[in-house]
Amino acid sequence: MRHELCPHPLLGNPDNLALLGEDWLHGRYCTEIASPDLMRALFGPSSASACTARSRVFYKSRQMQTRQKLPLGIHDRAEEYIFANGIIPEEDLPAIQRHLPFRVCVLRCKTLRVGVNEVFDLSAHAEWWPGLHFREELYVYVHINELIVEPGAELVVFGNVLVFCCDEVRLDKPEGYSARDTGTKDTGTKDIGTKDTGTKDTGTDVQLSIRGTRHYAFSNSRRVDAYDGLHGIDGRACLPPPQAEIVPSIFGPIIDNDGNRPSNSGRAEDGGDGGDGSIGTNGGMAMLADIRLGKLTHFQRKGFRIFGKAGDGNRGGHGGNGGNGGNGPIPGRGGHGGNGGNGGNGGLASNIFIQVPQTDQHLIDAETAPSAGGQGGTGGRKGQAGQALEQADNEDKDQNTDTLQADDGLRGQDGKTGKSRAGAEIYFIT
Amino acid sequence: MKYQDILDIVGLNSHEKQITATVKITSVEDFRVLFSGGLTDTQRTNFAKHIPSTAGQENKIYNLDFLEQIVSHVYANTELRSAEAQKFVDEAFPIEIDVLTGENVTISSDMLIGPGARPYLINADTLTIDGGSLTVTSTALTIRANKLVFTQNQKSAKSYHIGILGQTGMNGSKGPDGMPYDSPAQAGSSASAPTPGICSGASNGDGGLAGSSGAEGGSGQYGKDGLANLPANISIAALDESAEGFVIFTQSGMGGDGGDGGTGGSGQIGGHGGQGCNSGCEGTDGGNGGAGGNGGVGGNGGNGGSGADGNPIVITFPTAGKGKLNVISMDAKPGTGGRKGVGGSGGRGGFAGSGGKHKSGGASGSQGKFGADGKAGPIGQHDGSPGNVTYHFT
Repeated sequence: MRHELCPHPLLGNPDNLALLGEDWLHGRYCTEIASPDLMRALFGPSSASACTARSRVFYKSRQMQTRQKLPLGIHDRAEEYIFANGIIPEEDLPAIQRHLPFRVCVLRCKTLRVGVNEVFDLSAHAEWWPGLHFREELYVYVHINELIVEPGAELVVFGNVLVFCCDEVRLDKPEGYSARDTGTKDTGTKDIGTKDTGTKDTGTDVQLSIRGTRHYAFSNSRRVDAYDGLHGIDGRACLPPPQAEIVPSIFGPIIDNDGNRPSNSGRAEDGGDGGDGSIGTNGGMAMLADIRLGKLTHFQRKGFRIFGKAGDGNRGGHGGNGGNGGNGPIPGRGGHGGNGGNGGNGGLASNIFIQVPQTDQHLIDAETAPSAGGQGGTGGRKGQAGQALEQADNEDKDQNTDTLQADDGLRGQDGKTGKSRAGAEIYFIT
Repeated sequence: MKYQDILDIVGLNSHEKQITATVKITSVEDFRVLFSGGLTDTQRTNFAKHIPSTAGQENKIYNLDFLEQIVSHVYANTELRSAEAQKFVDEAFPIEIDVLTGENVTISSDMLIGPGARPYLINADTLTIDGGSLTVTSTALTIRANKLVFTQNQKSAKSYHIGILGQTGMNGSKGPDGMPYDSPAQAGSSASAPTPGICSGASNGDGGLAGSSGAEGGSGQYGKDGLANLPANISIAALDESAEGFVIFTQSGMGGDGGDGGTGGSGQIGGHGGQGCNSGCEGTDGGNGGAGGNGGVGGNGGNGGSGADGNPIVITFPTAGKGKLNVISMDAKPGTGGRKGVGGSGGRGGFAGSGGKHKSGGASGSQGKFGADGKAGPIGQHDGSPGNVTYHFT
């Protein structure tokens, strides 16, 4: 069972939605926040020490360091400002300006129950803001006073920046519940080709999943879905000059001396080469998650799992098959198979911060997995050489027959598997 | 012509039972004796009048106009008019013929001779047709028998005893299909950032070019004209009283069917739209994909071949058995025209160029239309008349 997700989202008014220090309206709705300052004030950690703690590790991972050289680093620096103690460089401001206002889906409620094996998708979707580009970065803010979860429950977000605040998370086993009732469940991630769904081990009760976007990540060199190369065209045959036609007469069969012999070089066409498959797109990015839990109740050790994984890279396009060479006295060469496109790289993953009282940390099983590179496309099959047809005319036979054997084409090379990307770094903030 | 005279010419001894032999004939004079000896002047004159002419035929099978002179020379005792014909005859001999001979020759199966086989000669004192038949196709035939006897020990699948047929013309081959394109039309240019991180002032991605129309399918080959039945000379001196009927069937060669037109080639895939500028967090729109090319026109079907006019047939038969001789002649039908080639399918529209950051992609190109079908080939121009039959009852 799935919960319906904002089928008719409310567009909140940022001016009176939540005055600073006031509570948010209860319910689930979309709103827009005008500036990074307001974002920081509304969604940033409440204490200066918590901000400092986040900033201390924000760029600790190699991946986060590398991202600083990319346009993506602009987003990271803005997020560090909102959720930690970062500073937005002046040169970043024009780029950030183009993303304003921030789009936030708010889920505010006093109590929320997620039943046995239920999956609650927290994700916000661009189509909830008419005209918004599907790649725009979206935020999800969750504040639940009492989150009641039953065994096997899962909350998941796909590719949104998540602020997940729960005053209490309480495990509640229904009457008559047996651990065998919690089997493997579908997290809804299969449609993006993710192999590891992050499904919990038997005995683990509840999971919060931080996943990559459902759409592939933007890349200047991988901007469209991979497509397969076109197959090469078969070479056309060149028929040998026909034998002189035998025709009937009253004296028996005679040779037609018409003399209308076709002039023909005897060379058949080569098969066309297959086209190369294009490179696969990169897996969807997993965004920053800031998880703030007041206390965990009724959980066993490592009973509350927090799992992060970006999307796997997508497969590269298959190379087109080489065309077969044409048959003829001088047969055509087989076409080369097209090369398979390289697989897309695994998606990048930002930081996951978990702020929880130290006394409850042992109840959390935090883990991330790397995103796998997409499989390379298969190289196209080689085209077969054409068959040598015998010359009808003896005077055409004085060529070395070895030279009349055409070669098969070469099989296209398989594309390389895309790069795997390290999973998100998880930092506990106390 | 006596039974023994024939044996003397072909150099074979008489046998009680039948034998089959391939023998060499060294001169056209001997050939004339074997194949037209004993014809009356009326038969020869009539024969000469009905030799089909190859002159003026558009789709004639070979360039030997003088063959009709040679046929007339053999069967009607006319002179060879051209040196070319004389040269051909001089160079043709010696030739080989197949001989079925014996004091008793029995046809007890459906024998097929030809098409285009060596001249066939049956020389028998008594020729017995025992439920069998003889069919010659575009092969010269002579049958000489002192007596014709029928028995019914065997059963024939044919509705005649002697068939004198022409060879059906070869069917035309299908026209080649239009060659498809091996690459899409030219893609639109992608826009690039004037300054790293800035797409302001950059153009959108260009549209891809429209695909070209597919190649036309080739026309089907013409069906060839039928080949004529060659002359036949059937001479029966006496008919067994028990004979119920002697059926001879003739039909010259039918025209070959025209080849089907080739399928039109697929239209070219439209060019892919150029990608919009993408740099930093800026972008411009992607270009539209080009429209796919229309499919190529299908090829026309080939013309059917005409039926061939048959060569004459001369029959010498006992007057007493006249009522039992049944000669059936049929026109040789022309070949049907080839079927029209189907138009090629339209090319796929080019992919839309992707937009840069936060910009729209272009529109995909539209699919090309199917190409028009070709025209069906016409039926062959005319029927072939059966060979003229001249009788001489003795």
